[in-house]
Amino acid sequence: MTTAIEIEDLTKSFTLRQRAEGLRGAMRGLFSASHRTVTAVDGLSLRIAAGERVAFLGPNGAGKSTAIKLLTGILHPTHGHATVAGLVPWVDRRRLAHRIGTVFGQRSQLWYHLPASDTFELLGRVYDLPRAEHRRRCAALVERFAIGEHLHTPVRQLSLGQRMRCELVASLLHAPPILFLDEPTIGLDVEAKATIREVIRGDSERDGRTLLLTSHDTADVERVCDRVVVIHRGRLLLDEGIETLRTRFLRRKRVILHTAEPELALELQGVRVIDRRPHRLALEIDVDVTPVEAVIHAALSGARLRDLTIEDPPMDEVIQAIYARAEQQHQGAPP
Amino acid sequence: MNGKLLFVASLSARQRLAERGVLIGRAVFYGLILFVFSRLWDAVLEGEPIPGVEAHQLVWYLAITEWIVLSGPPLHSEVEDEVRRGDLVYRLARPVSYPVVKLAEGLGDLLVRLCSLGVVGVVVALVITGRLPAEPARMLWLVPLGVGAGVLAMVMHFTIGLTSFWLHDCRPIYWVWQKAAFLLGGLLLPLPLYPPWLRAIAEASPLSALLYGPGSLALGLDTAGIWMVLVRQLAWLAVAVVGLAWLFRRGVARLEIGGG
Repeated sequence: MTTAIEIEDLTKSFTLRQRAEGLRGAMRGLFSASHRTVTAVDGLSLRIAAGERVAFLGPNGAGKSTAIKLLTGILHPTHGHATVAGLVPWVDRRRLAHRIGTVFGQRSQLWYHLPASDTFELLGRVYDLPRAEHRRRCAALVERFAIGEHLHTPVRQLSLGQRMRCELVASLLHAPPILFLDEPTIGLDVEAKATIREVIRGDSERDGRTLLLTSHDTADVERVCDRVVVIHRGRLLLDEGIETLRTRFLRRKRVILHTAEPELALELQGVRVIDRRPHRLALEIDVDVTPVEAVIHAALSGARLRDLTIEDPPMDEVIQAIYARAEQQHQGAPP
Repeated sequence: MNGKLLFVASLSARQRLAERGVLIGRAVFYGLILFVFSRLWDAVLEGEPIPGVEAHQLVWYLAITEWIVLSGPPLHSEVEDEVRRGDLVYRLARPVSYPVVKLAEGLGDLLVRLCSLGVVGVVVALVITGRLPAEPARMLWLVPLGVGAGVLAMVMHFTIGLTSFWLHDCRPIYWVWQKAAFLLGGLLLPLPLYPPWLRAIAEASPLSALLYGPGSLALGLDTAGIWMVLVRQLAWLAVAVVGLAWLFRRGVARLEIGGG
């Protein structure tokens, strides 16, 4: 399988000006300033194969944005090497721009007062696409993302979901083999989020497009990606397939029991009641202590079950647990 | 200018035309300024006439200088926003030069403002003075002079916006520039009415090519003078473009040091 993105020992440090506290510090800062070096990306190594859909996660300040700026050629690394679509980003930024697409949920590339079709026309020219080729791609993407009826409406009159679909089309007009997505569903309602996730994944599956997605919405990760890369303090913390992540980190299950009897008493080690109502009991089970089947067996011996649901905890909690563990390790590590 | 930049300029012009409320508001403000100052000069010149300058000439002069000031796109605040919000970082990831595209956008905006305010200026000045300037055909020179001044102002505004890389807020610099442009450019009064020492400073600055130069068409500027203003505009434009390119390179390099 060909490689879309390869990163080796990538490091980026910045020098930040330090400001002392208080009025005296502010006055002193006018004449002399101290600086400190911050390593935003710290020896990151990673390989992403063509067609992979990778979630790039980390808490705020983890180094995600800096890593993406390095991979899009906007920043030069302090140390290390990377290739994106076969090019060294900071050496071939202009050429690379033809091979990558970018979608930023909080920034728009569409002209606000004009229909999206005008922006598409402009992008065709910016990327030097032959006219016939541009028209053909535009028509295909408009159909794929179902924006035909919105194409000639001023962008300011579109809903957020419609606008985001137009943003996606704008980013894909030059047929980039790699697409960077930064919070593509931010601010959207539940239905629009589901649509955006579906079209992003469908497009990637159809064209074999590599996706690198950053999002704080773990449903984006679950619905779009197959692999999760977590960075923390600029370093690679975890690199797993979504399913592996679940089995490795989801050591807890949620079981909801609907019983014929109004009450059910269950006292088992590793089992915590998280909600109790008449005829309904919600439990969280530590499966390392007590297997799920043991809990069900105990429930059946105490009541007649009308219904039973077994759930994984939300991905949110998994990611939070990973961050928290990393932070604990960091604080416990010798300086 | 190649096809893609012309297209950027045309999109920008269409975007501005869609903002009808803003266009109308600016036109009303322009008309109001002309009316207020025309009354002021009438009162001043009635009490103490200025030799060689008539009130109607001053109205047309102000109509030209204000036309240029109000037509300048606010690139400083746009660039500042893009630097501060980080949008610029993402625009750098395009296969086109950010400053060139930004200037093309500004040009579209400038042309819409020049055309719309130009019509307002002629109508209001005509209503107030009741007459056209002497040698009205010569006023056609306002097309190249107005565009030249507008482009020069646009490049200066862009350059001021780039100081946001260091200052985060370019408003203090813009404020100084704007007041200097009003004073040394001769926004309200032609430079020959200034004290000699201030006039010498003003004429040596690029600001006189920006406002007084085009404005002096209303005072009977001859063809040689017009060409001189155009040459001065071009010369200052070349200097401003070099300054902009230098500052932009330094600003982008700063991203390398301090992060995006």
